[in-house]
Amino acid sequence: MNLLSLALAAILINNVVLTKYLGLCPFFGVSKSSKSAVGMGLAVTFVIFGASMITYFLYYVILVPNKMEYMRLITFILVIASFVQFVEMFIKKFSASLYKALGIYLPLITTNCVVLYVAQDNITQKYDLLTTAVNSLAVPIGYMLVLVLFSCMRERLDSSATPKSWKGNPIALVAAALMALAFSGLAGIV
Amino acid sequence: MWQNFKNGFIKENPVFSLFLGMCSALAVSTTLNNAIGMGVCVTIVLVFSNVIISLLRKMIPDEIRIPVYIVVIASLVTIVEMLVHAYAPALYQSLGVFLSLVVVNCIILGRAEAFASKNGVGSSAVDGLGMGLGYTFALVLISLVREFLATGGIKFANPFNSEQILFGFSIDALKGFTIPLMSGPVGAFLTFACFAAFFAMLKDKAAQKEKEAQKK
Amino acid sequence: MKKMIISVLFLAFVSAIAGAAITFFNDMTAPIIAVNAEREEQATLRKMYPDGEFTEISGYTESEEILAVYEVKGQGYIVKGTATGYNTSTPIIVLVGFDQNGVSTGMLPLQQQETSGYGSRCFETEFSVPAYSGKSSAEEVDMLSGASRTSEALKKIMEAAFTAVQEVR
Repeated sequence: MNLLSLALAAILINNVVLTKYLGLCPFFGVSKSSKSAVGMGLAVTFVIFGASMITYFLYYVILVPNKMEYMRLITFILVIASFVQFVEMFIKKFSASLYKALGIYLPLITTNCVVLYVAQDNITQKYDLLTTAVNSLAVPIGYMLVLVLFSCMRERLDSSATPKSWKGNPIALVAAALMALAFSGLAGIV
Repeated sequence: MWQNFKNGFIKENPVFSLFLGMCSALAVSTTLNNAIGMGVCVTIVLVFSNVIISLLRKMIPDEIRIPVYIVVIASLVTIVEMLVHAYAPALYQSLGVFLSLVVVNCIILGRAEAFASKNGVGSSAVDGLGMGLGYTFALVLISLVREFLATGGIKFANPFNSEQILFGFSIDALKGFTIPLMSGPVGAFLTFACFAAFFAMLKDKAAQKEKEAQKK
Repeated sequence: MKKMIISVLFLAFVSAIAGAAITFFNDMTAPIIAVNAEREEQATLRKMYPDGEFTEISGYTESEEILAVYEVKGQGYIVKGTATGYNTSTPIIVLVGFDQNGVSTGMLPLQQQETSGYGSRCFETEFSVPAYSGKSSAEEVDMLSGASRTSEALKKIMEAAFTAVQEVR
Protein backbone atom coordinates (compact mmCIF):
# COMPACT_ATOMS: atom_id res chain seq x y z
CA MET A 1 0.00 0.00 0.00
CA ASN A 2 1.42 3.37 -0.88
CA LEU A 3 1.52 6.24 1.58
CA LEU A 4 -1.42 8.17 0.18
CA SER A 5 -3.80 5.26 0.37
CA LEU A 6 -2.47 4.43 3.83
CA ALA A 7 -3.27 7.98 4.94
CA LEU A 8 -6.72 7.96 3.34
CA ALA A 9 -7.52 4.60 4.86
CA ALA A 10 -6.44 5.78 8.31
CA ILE A 11 -8.51 8.96 8.09
CA LEU A 12 -11.73 7.73 6.53
CA ILE A 13 -12.02 3.95 6.47
CA ASN A 14 -10.27 2.71 9.57
CA ASN A 15 -11.16 5.77 11.57
CA VAL A 16 -9.95 5.27 15.15
CA VAL A 17 -13.14 6.47 16.77
CA LEU A 18 -15.71 4.85 14.53
CA THR A 19 -14.10 1.51 13.78
CA LYS A 20 -11.64 0.93 16.61
CA TYR A 21 -13.65 2.62 19.39
CA LEU A 22 -10.60 4.47 20.69
CA GLY A 23 -10.45 7.83 22.39
CA LEU A 24 -14.11 7.80 23.31
CA CYS A 25 -13.82 9.50 26.70
CA PRO A 26 -12.64 12.85 25.30
CA PHE A 27 -14.84 12.21 22.28
CA PHE A 28 -17.95 12.52 24.40
CA GLY A 29 -16.47 15.00 26.84
CA VAL A 30 -15.02 17.64 24.53
CA SER A 31 -17.40 17.35 21.62
CA LYS A 32 -20.00 19.59 23.23
CA SER A 33 -18.73 22.66 21.40
CA SER A 34 -16.97 22.75 18.07
CA LYS A 35 -14.37 25.22 19.28
CA SER A 36 -12.97 22.98 21.97
CA ALA A 37 -13.22 20.05 19.54
CA VAL A 38 -10.81 21.79 17.19
CA GLY A 39 -8.47 22.64 20.05
CA MET A 40 -8.52 19.12 21.41
CA GLY A 41 -8.01 17.72 17.93
CA LEU A 42 -4.94 19.87 17.36
CA ALA A 43 -3.49 19.01 20.77
CA VAL A 44 -4.04 15.31 20.13
CA THR A 45 -2.47 15.54 16.67
CA PHE A 46 0.59 17.24 18.06
CA VAL A 47 0.94 14.82 20.97
CA ILE A 48 0.44 11.73 18.82
CA PHE A 49 2.94 12.83 16.20
CA GLY A 50 5.56 13.80 18.76
CA ALA A 51 5.06 10.79 21.01
CA SER A 52 5.07 8.32 18.09
CA MET A 53 8.32 9.69 16.77
CA ILE A 54 10.01 9.57 20.18
CA THR A 55 8.75 6.07 20.95
CA TYR A 56 9.78 4.88 17.49
CA PHE A 57 13.37 5.92 18.05
CA LEU A 58 13.40 4.69 21.65
CA TYR A 59 12.17 1.29 20.55
CA TYR A 60 14.61 0.76 17.71
CA VAL A 61 17.63 2.52 19.22
CA ILE A 62 17.42 1.42 22.85
CA LEU A 63 14.98 -1.42 23.43
CA VAL A 64 15.67 -3.68 20.42
CA PRO A 65 19.50 -3.73 20.64
CA ASN A 66 19.25 -4.53 24.36
CA LYS A 67 16.64 -7.25 23.81
CA MET A 68 14.20 -5.44 26.09
CA GLU A 69 11.19 -5.46 23.79
CA TYR A 70 9.03 -6.66 26.64
CA MET A 71 9.49 -3.32 28.40
CA ARG A 72 7.73 -1.60 25.50
CA LEU A 73 4.44 -0.82 27.21
CA ILE A 74 5.89 0.74 30.34
CA THR A 75 8.44 2.79 28.35
CA PHE A 76 5.85 4.07 25.90
CA ILE A 77 3.33 5.12 28.53
CA LEU A 78 6.01 6.97 30.50
CA VAL A 79 7.17 8.80 27.39
CA ILE A 80 3.60 9.74 26.52
CA ALA A 81 2.85 10.94 30.06
CA SER A 82 5.89 13.19 30.19
CA PHE A 83 5.33 14.47 26.67
CA VAL A 84 1.76 15.46 27.54
CA GLN A 85 3.02 17.27 30.61
CA PHE A 86 5.37 19.20 28.37
CA VAL A 87 2.62 20.16 25.91
CA GLU A 88 0.44 21.27 28.81
CA MET A 89 3.12 23.60 30.12
CA PHE A 90 3.67 24.89 26.60
CA ILE A 91 0.01 25.71 25.96
CA LYS A 92 -0.38 27.25 29.40
CA LYS A 93 2.43 29.65 28.62
CA PHE A 94 1.45 30.65 25.10
CA SER A 95 -2.31 30.53 24.86
CA ALA A 96 -4.27 31.17 28.02
CA SER A 97 -7.62 31.00 26.24
CA LEU A 98 -6.87 27.61 24.69
CA TYR A 99 -5.69 26.37 28.05
CA LYS A 100 -8.92 27.51 29.61
CA ALA A 101 -11.02 25.84 26.92
CA LEU A 102 -9.30 22.48 27.13
CA GLY A 103 -9.08 22.64 30.91
CA ILE A 104 -9.05 19.20 32.41
CA TYR A 105 -8.89 17.36 29.11
CA LEU A 106 -5.22 18.03 28.50
CA PRO A 107 -3.98 15.79 31.30
CA LEU A 108 -6.53 13.29 30.07
CA ILE A 109 -4.64 12.93 26.78
CA THR A 110 -2.32 10.65 28.76
CA THR A 111 -5.19 8.23 29.16
CA ASN A 112 -6.43 8.83 25.62
CA CYS A 113 -5.99 5.39 24.17
CA VAL A 114 -5.36 6.73 20.67
CA VAL A 115 -1.90 7.98 21.63
CA LEU A 116 -0.74 4.66 23.00
CA TYR A 117 -2.52 2.80 20.22
CA VAL A 118 -0.73 4.67 17.44
CA ALA A 119 2.66 4.29 19.14
CA GLN A 120 2.11 0.54 19.52
CA ASP A 121 0.55 0.12 16.08
CA ASN A 122 3.59 1.63 14.35
CA ILE A 123 5.73 -1.05 15.99
CA THR A 124 3.45 -4.06 15.53
CA GLN A 125 2.84 -3.21 11.86
CA LYS A 126 6.62 -2.95 11.41
CA TYR A 127 6.32 0.42 9.69
CA ASP A 128 9.47 2.19 8.56
CA LEU A 129 10.24 5.77 9.61
CA LEU A 130 8.37 7.51 6.78
CA THR A 131 5.30 5.31 7.09
CA THR A 132 5.33 5.86 10.85
CA ALA A 133 5.34 9.60 10.31
CA VAL A 134 2.45 9.46 7.83
CA ASN A 135 0.44 7.09 9.98
CA SER A 136 0.91 9.14 13.14
CA LEU A 137 -0.33 12.23 11.33
CA ALA A 138 -3.22 10.59 9.49
CA VAL A 139 -4.75 8.81 12.47
CA PRO A 140 -5.17 11.93 14.64
CA ILE A 141 -6.40 13.91 11.62
CA GLY A 142 -9.14 11.30 11.23
CA TYR A 143 -9.80 11.66 14.94
CA MET A 144 -10.09 15.44 14.67
CA LEU A 145 -12.35 15.19 11.62
CA VAL A 146 -14.83 12.99 13.44
CA LEU A 147 -14.54 15.04 16.64
CA VAL A 148 -15.41 18.27 14.82
CA LEU A 149 -18.23 16.76 12.75
CA PHE A 150 -19.63 15.17 15.85
CA SER A 151 -19.47 18.35 17.92
CA CYS A 152 -21.64 20.11 15.33
CA MET A 153 -24.20 17.34 15.71
CA ARG A 154 -23.97 17.55 19.49
CA GLU A 155 -24.76 21.26 19.47
CA ARG A 156 -28.02 20.51 17.68
CA LEU A 157 -28.77 17.47 19.80
CA ASP A 158 -28.54 19.41 23.04
CA SER A 159 -31.29 21.79 22.04
CA SER A 160 -33.62 19.10 20.71
CA ALA A 161 -36.35 17.38 22.70
CA THR A 162 -35.16 13.94 23.80
CA PRO A 163 -36.76 11.62 26.39
CA LYS A 164 -35.31 12.26 29.82
CA SER A 165 -33.28 9.10 30.25
CA TRP A 166 -31.82 9.42 26.72
CA LYS A 167 -30.55 12.95 27.34
CA GLY A 168 -26.80 13.51 27.13
CA ASN A 169 -24.58 10.56 26.42
CA PRO A 170 -27.14 7.90 25.38
CA ILE A 171 -28.56 9.95 22.50
CA ALA A 172 -25.03 11.00 21.54
CA LEU A 173 -24.13 7.32 21.30
CA VAL A 174 -27.02 6.76 18.91
CA ALA A 175 -25.72 9.64 16.80
CA ALA A 176 -22.27 8.03 16.88
CA ALA A 177 -23.81 4.76 15.68
CA LEU A 178 -25.40 6.52 12.72
CA MET A 179 -22.13 8.23 11.96
CA ALA A 180 -20.29 4.89 12.04
CA LEU A 181 -22.90 3.54 9.63
CA ALA A 182 -22.33 6.48 7.28
CA PHE A 183 -18.56 6.08 7.43
CA SER A 184 -18.78 2.35 6.74
CA GLY A 185 -20.06 3.34 3.29
CA LEU A 186 -16.59 4.71 2.54
CA ALA A 187 -14.95 1.28 2.83
CA GLY A 188 -13.36 0.26 -0.41
CA ILE A 189 -12.64 3.70 -1.85
CA VAL A 190 -8.92 3.07 -1.56
CA MET B 1 -17.72 -2.16 52.78
CA TRP B 2 -20.56 -4.14 51.24
CA GLN B 3 -22.00 -0.84 50.07
CA ASN B 4 -18.74 -0.05 48.24
CA PHE B 5 -18.93 -3.38 46.54
CA LYS B 6 -22.57 -3.07 45.53
CA ASN B 7 -22.18 0.49 44.26
CA GLY B 8 -19.93 -0.73 41.48
CA PHE B 9 -22.77 -2.65 39.87
CA ILE B 10 -25.66 -0.31 39.31
CA LYS B 11 -25.51 3.11 40.89
CA GLU B 12 -21.87 3.72 40.08
CA ASN B 13 -21.44 1.16 37.37
CA PRO B 14 -18.18 2.38 35.84
CA VAL B 15 -19.29 1.82 32.27
CA PHE B 16 -22.99 2.62 32.11
CA SER B 17 -23.26 5.39 34.69
CA LEU B 18 -19.82 6.94 34.85
CA PHE B 19 -18.90 6.34 31.17
CA LEU B 20 -15.40 5.19 32.05
CA GLY B 21 -13.48 2.57 30.11
CA MET B 22 -15.87 2.88 27.20
CA CYS B 23 -13.28 2.21 24.50
CA SER B 24 -12.46 -1.30 25.56
CA ALA B 25 -16.06 -1.97 26.61
CA LEU B 26 -17.22 -1.41 23.06
CA ALA B 27 -14.26 -3.01 21.31
CA VAL B 28 -14.12 -6.37 23.04
CA SER B 29 -17.82 -6.94 23.66
CA THR B 30 -18.32 -8.68 20.31
CA THR B 31 -18.49 -12.12 21.92
CA LEU B 32 -19.16 -13.42 25.41
CA ASN B 33 -15.72 -15.05 25.45
CA ASN B 34 -13.89 -11.79 24.87
CA ALA B 35 -16.10 -9.95 27.34
CA ILE B 36 -15.40 -12.34 30.19
CA GLY B 37 -11.70 -12.60 29.37
CA MET B 38 -11.26 -8.86 29.27
CA GLY B 39 -13.38 -8.35 32.38
CA VAL B 40 -11.28 -10.78 34.38
CA CYS B 41 -8.00 -9.19 33.21
CA VAL B 42 -9.21 -5.71 34.14
CA THR B 43 -10.49 -6.90 37.53
CA ILE B 44 -7.14 -8.50 38.36
CA VAL B 45 -5.20 -5.38 37.37
CA LEU B 46 -7.65 -3.17 39.25
CA VAL B 47 -7.47 -5.13 42.50
CA PHE B 48 -3.68 -5.35 42.47
CA SER B 49 -3.15 -1.72 41.49
CA ASN B 50 -5.56 -0.58 44.20
CA VAL B 51 -3.78 -2.69 46.82
CA ILE B 52 -0.27 -1.60 45.82
CA ILE B 53 -1.19 2.07 45.60
CA SER B 54 -3.02 1.94 48.90
CA LEU B 55 0.08 0.40 50.50
CA LEU B 56 2.31 3.09 49.03
CA ARG B 57 -0.10 5.98 49.59
CA LYS B 58 1.77 7.47 52.56
CA MET B 59 5.17 7.23 50.89
CA ILE B 60 4.46 8.65 47.45
CA PRO B 61 5.43 12.32 47.15
CA ASP B 62 2.38 14.24 45.99
CA GLU B 63 3.88 15.80 42.83
CA ILE B 64 4.87 12.53 41.22
CA ARG B 65 1.91 10.41 42.26
CA ILE B 66 0.47 10.16 38.73
CA PRO B 67 3.72 8.88 37.15
CA VAL B 68 4.06 6.37 39.99
CA TYR B 69 0.50 5.15 39.45
CA ILE B 70 1.19 4.81 35.75
CA VAL B 71 4.35 2.78 36.33
CA VAL B 72 2.52 0.46 38.72
CA ILE B 73 -0.43 0.00 36.37
CA ALA B 74 1.72 -0.44 33.26
CA SER B 75 3.83 -3.14 34.85
CA LEU B 76 0.76 -4.99 36.15
CA VAL B 77 -0.77 -4.88 32.68
CA THR B 78 2.44 -6.11 31.06
CA ILE B 79 2.57 -9.02 33.50
CA VAL B 80 -1.08 -9.94 32.94
CA GLU B 81 -0.55 -9.67 29.19
CA MET B 82 2.40 -12.06 29.34
CA LEU B 83 0.50 -14.57 31.46
CA VAL B 84 -2.50 -14.48 29.11
CA HIS B 85 -0.19 -14.88 26.11
CA ALA B 86 1.41 -17.93 27.70
CA TYR B 87 -1.59 -19.70 29.20
CA ALA B 88 -4.58 -18.56 27.11
CA PRO B 89 -3.16 -17.91 23.61
CA ALA B 90 -6.57 -17.93 21.91
CA LEU B 91 -7.83 -15.17 24.20
CA TYR B 92 -4.63 -13.22 23.60
CA GLN B 93 -5.24 -13.45 19.85
CA SER B 94 -8.82 -12.23 20.01
CA LEU B 95 -8.24 -9.40 22.50
CA GLY B 96 -5.23 -8.24 20.51
CA VAL B 97 -4.09 -4.68 21.11
CA PHE B 98 -6.91 -3.96 23.55
CA LEU B 99 -5.23 -6.03 26.22
CA SER B 100 -2.26 -3.67 26.38
CA LEU B 101 -4.60 -0.70 26.14
CA VAL B 102 -5.92 -1.64 29.59
CA VAL B 103 -3.10 0.66 30.78
CA VAL B 104 -5.03 3.68 29.62
CA ASN B 105 -8.39 2.42 30.83
CA CYS B 106 -9.67 5.39 32.81
CA ILE B 107 -11.29 3.16 35.46
CA ILE B 108 -7.96 1.96 36.79
CA LEU B 109 -6.20 5.31 37.04
CA GLY B 110 -9.46 6.87 38.22
CA ARG B 111 -9.90 4.43 41.11
CA ALA B 112 -6.23 4.77 42.08
CA GLU B 113 -6.57 8.54 42.29
CA ALA B 114 -10.08 8.74 43.75
CA PHE B 115 -10.13 5.80 46.13
CA ALA B 116 -6.93 3.85 46.74
CA SER B 117 -4.83 6.93 47.46
CA LYS B 118 -7.14 7.86 50.35
CA ASN B 119 -8.26 4.54 51.83
CA GLY B 120 -6.83 1.48 53.58
CA VAL B 121 -5.67 -1.69 51.89
CA GLY B 122 -8.74 -3.79 52.69
CA SER B 123 -11.38 -1.40 51.43
CA SER B 124 -9.26 -0.54 48.38
CA ALA B 125 -9.13 -4.20 47.43
CA VAL B 126 -12.89 -4.51 47.84
CA ASP B 127 -13.44 -1.34 45.84
CA GLY B 128 -11.22 -2.71 43.06
CA LEU B 129 -13.10 -5.98 43.03
CA GLY B 130 -16.49 -4.27 42.98
CA MET B 131 -15.55 -1.89 40.19
CA GLY B 132 -13.88 -4.69 38.22
CA LEU B 133 -16.92 -6.92 38.50
CA GLY B 134 -19.18 -3.99 37.60
CA TYR B 135 -17.09 -3.51 34.47
CA THR B 136 -17.25 -7.23 33.66
CA PHE B 137 -21.01 -7.19 34.25
CA ALA B 138 -21.43 -4.33 31.77
CA LEU B 139 -19.24 -6.06 29.17
CA VAL B 140 -21.14 -9.32 29.52
CA LEU B 141 -24.50 -7.57 29.13
CA ILE B 142 -23.42 -5.82 25.92
CA SER B 143 -21.75 -8.91 24.52
CA LEU B 144 -24.81 -11.13 25.14
CA VAL B 145 -26.98 -8.81 23.06
CA ARG B 146 -24.42 -8.33 20.32
CA GLU B 147 -23.35 -11.94 19.95
CA PHE B 148 -26.93 -13.18 19.97
CA LEU B 149 -28.13 -10.73 17.34
CA ALA B 150 -25.03 -11.11 15.17
CA THR B 151 -24.76 -14.90 15.15
CA GLY B 152 -28.10 -16.21 16.42
CA GLY B 153 -26.53 -17.96 19.41
CA ILE B 154 -24.21 -17.68 22.39
CA LYS B 155 -21.00 -19.64 22.88
CA PHE B 156 -18.56 -19.74 25.75
CA ALA B 157 -15.34 -21.69 25.35
CA ASN B 158 -12.75 -22.56 27.96
CA PRO B 159 -10.19 -19.73 27.74
CA PHE B 160 -7.29 -22.12 28.42
CA ASN B 161 -8.35 -24.55 25.72
CA SER B 162 -10.32 -22.97 22.91
CA GLU B 163 -11.52 -26.33 21.53
CA GLN B 164 -13.52 -27.11 24.65
CA ILE B 165 -16.88 -25.37 24.69
CA LEU B 166 -18.21 -24.94 28.23
CA PHE B 167 -21.72 -23.93 27.28
CA GLY B 168 -23.52 -22.49 24.34
CA PHE B 169 -26.63 -22.65 22.25
CA SER B 170 -27.70 -21.49 18.84
CA ILE B 171 -31.19 -21.15 17.46
CA ASP B 172 -31.35 -22.60 13.96
CA ALA B 173 -34.59 -20.83 13.12
CA LEU B 174 -32.74 -17.51 13.43
CA LYS B 175 -29.93 -18.47 11.05
CA GLY B 176 -31.37 -16.51 8.14
CA PHE B 177 -32.14 -13.45 10.24
CA THR B 178 -28.82 -12.64 11.86
CA ILE B 179 -27.58 -9.04 11.84
CA PRO B 180 -23.83 -9.07 11.15
CA LEU B 181 -23.85 -5.30 11.66
CA MET B 182 -24.28 -5.89 15.39
CA SER B 183 -20.75 -7.24 15.73
CA GLY B 184 -19.43 -4.06 14.10
CA PRO B 185 -19.16 -0.52 15.42
CA VAL B 186 -22.79 0.35 14.67
CA GLY B 187 -24.06 -2.47 16.86
CA ALA B 188 -21.61 -1.53 19.59
CA PHE B 189 -22.73 2.08 19.79
CA LEU B 190 -26.43 1.25 19.55
CA THR B 191 -26.40 -1.48 22.18
CA PHE B 192 -24.38 0.71 24.49
CA ALA B 193 -26.79 3.61 23.99
CA CYS B 194 -29.79 1.46 24.93
CA PHE B 195 -28.11 0.18 28.09
CA ALA B 196 -26.92 3.64 29.09
CA ALA B 197 -30.46 4.99 28.73
CA PHE B 198 -31.84 2.08 30.71
CA PHE B 199 -29.38 2.63 33.54
CA ALA B 200 -30.12 6.36 33.55
CA MET B 201 -33.79 5.49 33.95
CA LEU B 202 -33.03 3.16 36.88
CA LYS B 203 -30.98 5.87 38.52
CA ASP B 204 -33.77 8.42 38.06
CA LYS B 205 -36.33 6.09 39.58
CA ALA B 206 -34.12 5.39 42.59
CA ALA B 207 -33.55 9.10 43.12
CA GLN B 208 -37.27 9.79 42.93
CA LYS B 209 -38.04 7.10 45.47
CA GLU B 210 -35.51 8.56 47.84
CA LYS B 211 -37.09 11.98 47.48
CA GLU B 212 -40.54 10.64 48.26
CA ALA B 213 -39.22 8.77 51.27
CA GLN B 214 -37.69 11.98 52.56
CA LYS B 215 -40.97 13.85 52.15
CA LYS B 216 -42.76 11.37 54.33
CA MET C 1 15.48 20.99 45.81
CA LYS C 2 15.77 18.22 48.35
CA LYS C 3 12.14 17.36 47.78
CA MET C 4 12.71 17.07 44.06
CA ILE C 5 15.65 14.70 44.53
CA ILE C 6 13.54 12.53 46.81
CA SER C 7 10.76 12.49 44.23
CA VAL C 8 13.09 11.49 41.42
CA LEU C 9 14.75 8.82 43.54
CA PHE C 10 11.37 7.44 44.56
CA LEU C 11 10.19 7.25 40.97
CA ALA C 12 13.43 5.57 39.93
CA PHE C 13 13.06 3.10 42.79
CA VAL C 14 9.49 2.21 41.83
CA SER C 15 10.50 1.85 38.18
CA ALA C 16 13.39 -0.42 39.11
CA ILE C 17 11.12 -2.73 41.09
CA ALA C 18 8.58 -2.71 38.25
CA GLY C 19 11.31 -3.50 35.73
CA ALA C 20 12.57 -6.38 37.85
CA ALA C 21 9.06 -7.82 38.19
CA ILE C 22 8.43 -7.58 34.44
CA THR C 23 11.77 -9.23 33.66
CA PHE C 24 10.98 -12.05 36.07
CA PHE C 25 7.61 -12.74 34.47
CA ASN C 26 9.08 -12.41 30.98
CA ASP C 27 11.68 -15.06 31.74
CA MET C 28 8.95 -17.26 33.14
CA THR C 29 6.51 -16.95 30.23
CA ALA C 30 8.78 -16.47 27.19
CA PRO C 31 9.65 -20.20 26.76
CA ILE C 32 5.97 -21.19 27.10
CA ILE C 33 4.95 -18.62 24.51
CA ALA C 34 7.63 -19.86 22.10
CA VAL C 35 6.49 -23.49 22.51
CA ASN C 36 2.85 -22.47 21.99
CA ALA C 37 3.67 -20.54 18.83
CA GLU C 38 5.59 -23.49 17.41
CA ARG C 39 2.75 -25.92 18.18
CA GLU C 40 0.17 -23.53 16.76
CA GLU C 41 2.10 -23.24 13.50
CA GLN C 42 2.44 -27.01 13.12
CA ALA C 43 -1.28 -27.42 13.80
CA THR C 44 -2.31 -24.97 11.07
CA LEU C 45 0.06 -26.56 8.56
CA ARG C 46 -1.35 -29.97 9.43
CA LYS C 47 -4.77 -28.80 8.29
CA MET C 48 -3.39 -29.04 4.74
CA TYR C 49 -1.16 -32.10 5.01
CA PRO C 50 -2.44 -34.03 8.04
CA ASP C 51 0.58 -36.35 8.30
CA GLY C 52 3.25 -34.02 6.92
CA GLU C 53 6.66 -33.13 8.24
CA PHE C 54 7.26 -29.42 7.75
CA THR C 55 10.44 -27.40 7.40
CA GLU C 56 10.51 -23.70 6.65
CA ILE C 57 12.68 -23.06 3.60
CA SER C 58 14.22 -20.04 1.89
CA GLY C 59 15.65 -19.52 -1.57
CA TYR C 60 12.74 -17.68 -3.16
CA THR C 61 12.65 -14.00 -4.12
CA GLU C 62 11.15 -12.20 -1.17
CA SER C 63 7.98 -10.25 -1.84
CA GLU C 64 5.26 -8.44 0.08
CA GLU C 65 2.81 -11.26 -0.47
CA ILE C 66 4.86 -14.18 0.82
CA LEU C 67 5.12 -14.65 4.59
CA ALA C 68 6.74 -18.10 4.58
CA VAL C 69 7.30 -21.18 2.43
CA TYR C 70 7.33 -24.65 3.96
CA GLU C 71 8.48 -27.89 2.43
CA VAL C 72 6.31 -30.88 3.24
CA LYS C 73 8.67 -33.83 3.23
CA GLY C 74 7.98 -36.05 0.22
CA GLN C 75 4.57 -34.48 -0.44
CA GLY C 76 4.90 -30.88 -1.65
CA TYR C 77 4.96 -27.31 -0.44
CA ILE C 78 2.83 -24.87 1.55
CA VAL C 79 3.02 -21.12 0.98
CA LYS C 80 1.71 -18.69 3.57
CA GLY C 81 0.64 -15.56 1.73
CA THR C 82 -1.02 -12.25 2.47
CA ALA C 83 -2.65 -9.35 0.59
CA THR C 84 -5.19 -6.64 1.28
CA GLY C 85 -8.69 -7.11 -0.12
CA TYR C 86 -11.74 -4.97 0.49
CA ASN C 87 -11.13 -4.64 4.20
CA THR C 88 -8.06 -2.43 4.57
CA SER C 89 -7.71 -2.92 8.32
CA THR C 90 -7.49 -6.73 8.27
CA PRO C 91 -5.36 -8.19 5.48
CA ILE C 92 -6.20 -11.61 4.10
CA ILE C 93 -3.83 -14.38 5.18
CA VAL C 94 -4.08 -17.78 3.49
CA LEU C 95 -2.18 -21.02 3.12
CA VAL C 96 -1.76 -22.34 -0.41
CA GLY C 97 -0.83 -25.98 -0.83
CA PHE C 98 1.20 -27.39 -3.74
CA ASP C 99 2.18 -30.90 -4.70
CA GLN C 100 5.72 -31.82 -5.75
CA ASN C 101 5.06 -30.87 -9.39
CA GLY C 102 4.02 -27.35 -8.43
CA VAL C 103 0.31 -27.94 -9.01
CA SER C 104 -1.87 -26.23 -6.43
CA THR C 105 -3.82 -28.51 -4.09
CA GLY C 106 -5.97 -25.97 -2.27
CA MET C 107 -6.33 -22.71 -0.40
CA LEU C 108 -7.08 -22.35 3.30
CA PRO C 109 -7.95 -18.98 4.88
CA LEU C 110 -6.23 -18.24 8.19
CA GLN C 111 -7.49 -14.69 8.59
CA GLN C 112 -10.06 -12.79 6.57
CA GLN C 113 -12.69 -10.18 7.41
CA GLU C 114 -14.00 -9.61 3.90
CA THR C 115 -17.58 -8.45 3.45
CA SER C 116 -19.89 -11.21 4.57
CA GLY C 117 -21.93 -12.52 1.65
CA TYR C 118 -19.72 -10.90 -1.03
CA GLY C 119 -15.96 -11.19 -0.64
CA SER C 120 -16.32 -13.88 1.97
CA ARG C 121 -17.79 -16.22 -0.68
CA CYS C 122 -14.29 -16.59 -2.13
CA PHE C 123 -13.40 -18.63 0.94
CA GLU C 124 -16.40 -20.95 0.89
CA THR C 125 -15.43 -24.41 -0.25
CA GLU C 126 -18.02 -24.47 -3.07
CA PHE C 127 -16.04 -21.76 -4.79
CA SER C 128 -12.55 -22.13 -3.39
CA VAL C 129 -12.01 -25.83 -4.13
CA PRO C 130 -12.58 -25.64 -7.92
CA ALA C 131 -11.08 -22.14 -8.17
CA TYR C 132 -7.78 -22.70 -6.42
CA SER C 133 -6.89 -26.40 -6.56
CA GLY C 134 -5.48 -28.39 -9.47
CA LYS C 135 -4.04 -25.32 -11.18
CA SER C 136 -0.54 -25.24 -12.58
CA SER C 137 -0.24 -21.47 -13.04
CA ALA C 138 -1.81 -18.31 -11.65
CA GLU C 139 -3.57 -17.57 -14.96
CA GLU C 140 -5.84 -20.57 -14.47
CA VAL C 141 -7.13 -19.26 -11.11
CA ASP C 142 -10.78 -18.23 -11.30
CA MET C 143 -12.22 -14.89 -10.22
CA LEU C 144 -15.56 -14.55 -8.44
CA SER C 145 -17.90 -11.98 -9.95
CA GLY C 146 -19.20 -9.44 -7.45
CA ALA C 147 -16.10 -9.85 -5.31
CA SER C 148 -13.42 -8.42 -7.53
CA ARG C 149 -11.43 -6.74 -4.75
CA THR C 150 -11.10 -9.97 -2.78
CA SER C 151 -10.45 -12.03 -5.92
CA GLU C 152 -7.71 -9.62 -7.03
CA ALA C 153 -6.01 -9.96 -3.66
CA LEU C 154 -6.19 -13.74 -3.80
CA LYS C 155 -4.90 -13.75 -7.36
CA LYS C 156 -1.95 -11.63 -6.27
CA ILE C 157 -1.17 -14.15 -3.55
CA MET C 158 -1.50 -17.04 -6.00
CA GLU C 159 0.83 -15.38 -8.50
CA ALA C 160 3.48 -14.84 -5.85
CA ALA C 161 2.98 -18.34 -4.50
CA PHE C 162 3.39 -20.00 -7.92
CA THR C 163 6.58 -18.00 -8.54
CA ALA C 164 7.98 -18.90 -5.12
CA VAL C 165 7.25 -22.60 -5.55
CA GLN C 166 8.81 -22.59 -9.05
CA GLU C 167 11.94 -21.11 -7.51
CA VAL C 168 12.34 -23.55 -4.64
CA ARG C 169 11.42 -26.72 -6.48
